[in-house]
Amino acid sequence: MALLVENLVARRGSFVVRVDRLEVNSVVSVVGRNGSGKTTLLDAIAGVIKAEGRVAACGRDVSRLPPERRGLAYVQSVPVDPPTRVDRFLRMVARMHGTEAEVGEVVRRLGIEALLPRRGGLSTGQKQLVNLAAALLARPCAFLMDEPTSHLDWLNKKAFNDVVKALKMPVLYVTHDPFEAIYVADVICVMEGGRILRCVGGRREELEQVYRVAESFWSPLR
Amino acid sequence: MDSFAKAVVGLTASVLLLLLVALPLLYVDPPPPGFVESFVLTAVFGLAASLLSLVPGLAAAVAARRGGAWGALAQVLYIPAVVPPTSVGVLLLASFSLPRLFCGGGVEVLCASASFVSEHVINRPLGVLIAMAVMALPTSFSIFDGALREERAEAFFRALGFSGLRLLLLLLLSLRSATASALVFSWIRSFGELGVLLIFASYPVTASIYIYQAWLSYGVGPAVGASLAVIAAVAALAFVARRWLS
Repeated sequence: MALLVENLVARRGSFVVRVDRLEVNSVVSVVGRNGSGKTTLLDAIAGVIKAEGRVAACGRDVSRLPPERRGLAYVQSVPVDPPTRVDRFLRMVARMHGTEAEVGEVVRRLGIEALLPRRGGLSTGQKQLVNLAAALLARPCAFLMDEPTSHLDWLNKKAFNDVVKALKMPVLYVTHDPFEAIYVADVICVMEGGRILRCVGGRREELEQVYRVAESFWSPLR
Repeated sequence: MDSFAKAVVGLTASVLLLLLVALPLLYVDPPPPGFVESFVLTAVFGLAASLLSLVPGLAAAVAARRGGAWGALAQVLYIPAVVPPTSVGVLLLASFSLPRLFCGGGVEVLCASASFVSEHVINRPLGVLIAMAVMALPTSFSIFDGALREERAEAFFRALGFSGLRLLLLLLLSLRSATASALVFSWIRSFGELGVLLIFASYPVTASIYIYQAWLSYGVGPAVGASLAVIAAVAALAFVARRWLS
């Protein structure tokens, strides 16, 4: 199993996130409103904040390990600027994880060959693809993605999500957009008040149920 | 921008320009000898101090973002910004005047060591560097703290497997606007520092000490000349930096 979360309890101030069990073996999307606890959940799984419970990555209990040793790549909503030229940064990450031979393949897969000699001036979408390339080269057990397309225009959003779908890797993908979740995910979980209320997956009709669940949360606001 | 905001900005800027430039020009005299030397010295020491403050400022910002006991401890870096600079000067002076405590107490080895440190720090180049670095820390800290609030670069790089000094260096390079801001504004800050330097490290003579001494020795006119020259240089740099970094 790529990523397993059991009996997780994480706190951010007075807000508490509780997750009894969450398995990630494909693209699993967590959908929820602002403040439902999605980022707190990812932070707890990544080890960025303290949490009780068990997080296992590639069958290994990583609950007590710092983020850098969990084997979970964490892609942020605001993409991080590459610290050096893109090619140098990717090679640096690859050297650390023994994946130098994969740099060319990853770059081709994400279609970012033209970005390699660049250092600055990348668009938000380009930065996010470079972040994803670095994350791939870290050869993680699973990806954690926190609204990775929230700052992208529609075309870049679609391009990024197409890449995520084509990765065929375990991804815990947080978004507040049910349409995006239906597009990108194999399993969709709805989160509200720090709890995962329901996960549906498999057939498209089942995935679309989540939209109706989400709609039921938002209907009082309309 | 609406007309009220324009009026407020116009009024405030006009008053400041009147008080800090136009009216003082009526008194201006050429600065006394030593102005260029003090300016260059401040620039060099300020740059060194700003560079020294980058990694601790960033580390404190990272700790502050993580919270907990280390996050609380990181807030100590703000102390030089929230207490009077003269207090910081007095406290540094006391700390580096330890020979008084050790000498005569039968601990002669400590006395010799403390005397050596004291002689090479107080009113010495090393003292200027220490004073400026201490005063630069809050600037670096606050700039990196703001940058890390907007961009969760630390979580990204840690998840890639980076930690320790390599993590901090990657953050410095990735948050390059913040790094440049911290460097430039800490450096600019070093020109404005008087309280700490006057008490703890008044020699070699830096820009603020030079202006203070020019006022004491030669009166307002020459001090105004030196002050306006510093304002022109530093304000121009600050303006360029703000345009470039924003």
